[in-house]
Amino acid sequence: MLEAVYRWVDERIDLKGLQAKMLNEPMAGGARYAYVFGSALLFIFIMQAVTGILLMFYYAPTADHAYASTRYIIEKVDFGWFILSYHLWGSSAMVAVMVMHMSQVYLWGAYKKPREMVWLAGLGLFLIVIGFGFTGYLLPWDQRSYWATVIGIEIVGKAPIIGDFLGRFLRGGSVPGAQTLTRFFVIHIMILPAALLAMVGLHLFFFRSAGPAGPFKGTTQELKSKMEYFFPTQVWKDIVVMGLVFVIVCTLAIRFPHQMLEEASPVASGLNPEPEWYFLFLFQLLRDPALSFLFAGQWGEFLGAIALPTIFLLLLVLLPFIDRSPERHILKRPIALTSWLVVLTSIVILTIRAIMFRE
Amino acid sequence: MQPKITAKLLCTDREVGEVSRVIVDPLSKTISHLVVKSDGQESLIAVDGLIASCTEREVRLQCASSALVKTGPFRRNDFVTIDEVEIPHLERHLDVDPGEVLVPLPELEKDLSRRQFFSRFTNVIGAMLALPLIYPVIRYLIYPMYKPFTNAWINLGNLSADRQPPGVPQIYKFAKTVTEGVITRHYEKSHWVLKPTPEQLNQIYPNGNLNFKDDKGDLIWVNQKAADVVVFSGKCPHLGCAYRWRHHKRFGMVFVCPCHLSVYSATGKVLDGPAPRPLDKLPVKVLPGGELEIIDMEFEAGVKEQIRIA
Amino acid sequence: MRPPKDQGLFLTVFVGICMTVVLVLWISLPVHIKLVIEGEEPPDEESSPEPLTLKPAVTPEERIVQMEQALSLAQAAVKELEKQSTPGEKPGEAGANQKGRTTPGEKPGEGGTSQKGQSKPSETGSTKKGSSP
Repeated sequence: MLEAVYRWVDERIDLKGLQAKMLNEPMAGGARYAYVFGSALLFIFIMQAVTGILLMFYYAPTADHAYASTRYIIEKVDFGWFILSYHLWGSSAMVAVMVMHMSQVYLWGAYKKPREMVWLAGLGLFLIVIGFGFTGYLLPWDQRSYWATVIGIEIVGKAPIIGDFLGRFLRGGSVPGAQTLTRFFVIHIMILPAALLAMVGLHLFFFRSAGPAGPFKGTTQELKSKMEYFFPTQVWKDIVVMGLVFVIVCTLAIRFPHQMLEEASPVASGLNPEPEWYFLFLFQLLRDPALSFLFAGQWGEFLGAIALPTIFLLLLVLLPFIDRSPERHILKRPIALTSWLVVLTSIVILTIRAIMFRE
Repeated sequence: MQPKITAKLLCTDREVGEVSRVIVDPLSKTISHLVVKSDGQESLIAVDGLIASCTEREVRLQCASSALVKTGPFRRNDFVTIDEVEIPHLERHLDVDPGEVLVPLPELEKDLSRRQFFSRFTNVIGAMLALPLIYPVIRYLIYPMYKPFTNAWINLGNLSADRQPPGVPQIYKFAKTVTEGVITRHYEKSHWVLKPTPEQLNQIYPNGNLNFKDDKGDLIWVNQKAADVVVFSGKCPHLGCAYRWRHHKRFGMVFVCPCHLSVYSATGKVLDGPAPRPLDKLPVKVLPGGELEIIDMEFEAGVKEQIRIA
Repeated sequence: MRPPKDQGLFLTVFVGICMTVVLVLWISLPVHIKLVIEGEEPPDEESSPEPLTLKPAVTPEERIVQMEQALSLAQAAVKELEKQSTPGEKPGEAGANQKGRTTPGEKPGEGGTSQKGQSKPSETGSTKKGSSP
């Protein structure tokens, strides 16, 4: 029966040809588990979209009812706690897998010619995902969300020239309040998803245009002989990993359901505000006593909060143009390898210190 | 340039045959083999790196015919056309009609049962990923849809506010407060209150007392037939509009619904129009002091039977 | 991974295991959880509001029986006191006698209201005809 429907559609739009074009992508050196992270990210995004849409059935995005409606979802709606906890753990998973994906691409040198545009589109996606995390965090409107956002927008406001405008734009005023929530909601459910879909489209188009980079080891002949098509082996590896991600996020959601604090209020009583875990390293950079010689004071704050992240981002953008050597073997690119290790280790150490030094 | 089909293949020493197919390597996008027809037989010849010159009518190889590597007879099933493979920007490297250019199908892919297995297994895993969500999501979505009735008594007003003589209905407006989820709303509703005459009572309660049951079937209230007060739900049983008490040229003073012109007598009986049943009566009790209390029930519009929905 | 010899069997077993796990999950997953918010008292056990089913506190028949019982007890008490007071009347007892006498007077009124077959609950005291004079 299903085949009959397939044949009917195929007769009209050449479905077989379309499927073939999508699935029969030659991969030199064959399918690898190293390549799964991109597809895993797509899967996580779809899950976030599904759970996010479900949450919108009961969430009220206005300051008077945001907190109550979030509690309503967790405490009253059947399995609401599970949908919400899945959405929140999924967002952490997205950031974690994104770092893995970026690292894999970087270490395999897959940003080099002719794949510079793939890398740039990917950086756009990186910023969009960060935006998702930042805007989504405010929506429960409890003390933790509110104060983390207050601090976050303060930092944005420190940017030179455009900082005040940007801060006011995000806040919808001079002080964070009801307008902030509404703006963050629109950005989170409309603007960023649209941007993400557009950017994913570009990212995939550029990627298909250039073809997968493949392994950095092996001669062209060896890789040619081990060539496999995307379907079925890479698709299969992708879906195994998607299944794994799903099971992990479900387990985390069930074992550690989301806990809320009291409703947001301008009085931060006894609360130590801190951002979501993937921003903790930046948070710690600005307040770690060992680094205070660099980042304390107004100039230091500017350095740590604005200058350093901007420079880092700029380096990432310029990476394919700075590193023009065609060498892709990671052990033959000592600068690349060292920089990656240094950056990742610093982030990990700072994050751990942020957790250790919680008051 | 690349050969057209039926171009001649020439080695340094002699003509070898006619090109019938062009085989392309999908990764490097260069011609790897040619299928050459000679003496009615098609054979596969590796030409990677050997092409000296190439025009539409002839391909010249750098080597002698004796040095040619004939990789055996041409087996069409070992190859697929470029329509069945994703090779981006191939047209930049080659310019042929699609049927002429082939791409090798890797050994592993030739195993149909292997392809079928991975295809099926992938679909199965995909379905198993979607499956656990079905039950929680359905329950999540239908949570507010079938809530049990709250049979709360609310104050409608005082009987002393009724300025009409017995037998003539009076409208009573009251404030209703409703909490749905986390939102509490206040709005105004109205019902019709009638002090019935004995003849009217017979028409309003033709079957004696009126019992009101909850969703479990337990009796929650009985409107006595010998009642001082009858309350009609302000919503027309046809489609829920608010009806009025008006003079009708044929029926005199009656209830008239402005939406579809249903006409009811003072006792709620349908006189004219699309109304499927008489006016719905609500549970009412009169407290000492004249306060009227009702359970504000809602009934399904447009059906003959009275089915409570709220 | 090599494809299995019997694909159908493999896939069926795989689906079976997954479905079992999923069913166990569905049964064991709690439908609601309680949030514990720092700074708030733990919420009381609130079940969804029970639909109000009005059951009468006392039916009219029970009321009559109760009053009759009270009456007979009072009459017995009066007889006792009369027996005790005949040697020497005390003012306290006179009051008690008076009380004893007024209770019969209430009976017709009560009977009148209870005969009407009031709608439950009977304590509403609606303005009905023939209520106690």
